Amino acid sequence: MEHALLAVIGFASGFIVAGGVVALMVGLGIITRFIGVSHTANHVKYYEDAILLGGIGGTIVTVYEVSLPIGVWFLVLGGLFIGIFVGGWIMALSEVINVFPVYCRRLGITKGLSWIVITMAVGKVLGSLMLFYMRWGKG
Amino acid sequence: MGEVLYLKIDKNIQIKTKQVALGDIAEMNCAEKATVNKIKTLRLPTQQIKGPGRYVFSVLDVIDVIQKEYPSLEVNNLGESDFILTVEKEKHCSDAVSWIKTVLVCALAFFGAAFSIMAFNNDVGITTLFGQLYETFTGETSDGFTLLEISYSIGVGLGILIFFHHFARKKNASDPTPLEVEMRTYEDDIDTTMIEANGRNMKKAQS
Repeated sequence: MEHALLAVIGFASGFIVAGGVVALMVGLGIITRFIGVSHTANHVKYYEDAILLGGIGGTIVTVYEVSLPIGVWFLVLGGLFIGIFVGGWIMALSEVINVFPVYCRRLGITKGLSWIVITMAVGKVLGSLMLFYMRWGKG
Repeated sequence: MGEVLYLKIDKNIQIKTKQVALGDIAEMNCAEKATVNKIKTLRLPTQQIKGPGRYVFSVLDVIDVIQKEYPSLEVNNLGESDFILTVEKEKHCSDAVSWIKTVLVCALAFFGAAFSIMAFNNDVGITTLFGQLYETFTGETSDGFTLLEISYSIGVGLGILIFFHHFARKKNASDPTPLEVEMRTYEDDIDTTMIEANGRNMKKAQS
């Protein structure tokens, strides 16, 4: 009886959390932006499958803490892709609240808009490296 | 048989002086070319313009001017019903000043980005998660600064550049970047707000 209840609770929470995660991802338009950049909107079904597999894979790794000694090079590749996704994610978040148009307009920026994006990207890379190198992260 | 004048005005028009001819702000089309040419030289009354800034006008002002001259002409408006005249400042910022401003915002973006990624990484507890991932996939304990963290950091930068479509611009120069699209959308919103706020003020003044 208790197990049945637990199963129902687990199923329901998974259901809602999955909905939330996908809604956030779709709502922020990260995937759509990446699809737009690569001009591959005709294969959008595969992306849905990839999100599904990634979600299940991530859940298995974090919940069951299985050991999969594939090697550090898999991690390097994974880290790169994680980083690219997070980079897009952060930009999507700051886009929601219109940071750039507001600043550019208030300060009357007309030149070198692309340099702002480049310096920001460099700042993110160095900031992130610094946090890890100095072991500032908690945990 | 009455003639028809087709009139099209953009939402936001940049002008330099108070002397505004209709030809400066509107596109017009009419079967009678002579009529169009005459109308294009007519002046829009611009008493409300006092120095640089944004001023909301109604297309009715324009139609008034035209019908004073050509009472029987039928005017067909295809553009906005309200439009904004942006009076620019006489002297423009020099190139050097505007580049300095850009450099300042670059510095802002750089340090802001560096700080916010650190806050973000800390917030979502990425250090712990990367430690777990490292252990899962290599079987060894992470020392906190492995290839995973380095490749992730590089990926963040790449992700931003890809997100802003930074590499595609060389391929197709006519395609605006998402940042430019966003800029435009934001300015459109400002114009709409100004026009609607103006309409509200006028209604208040009448009642």
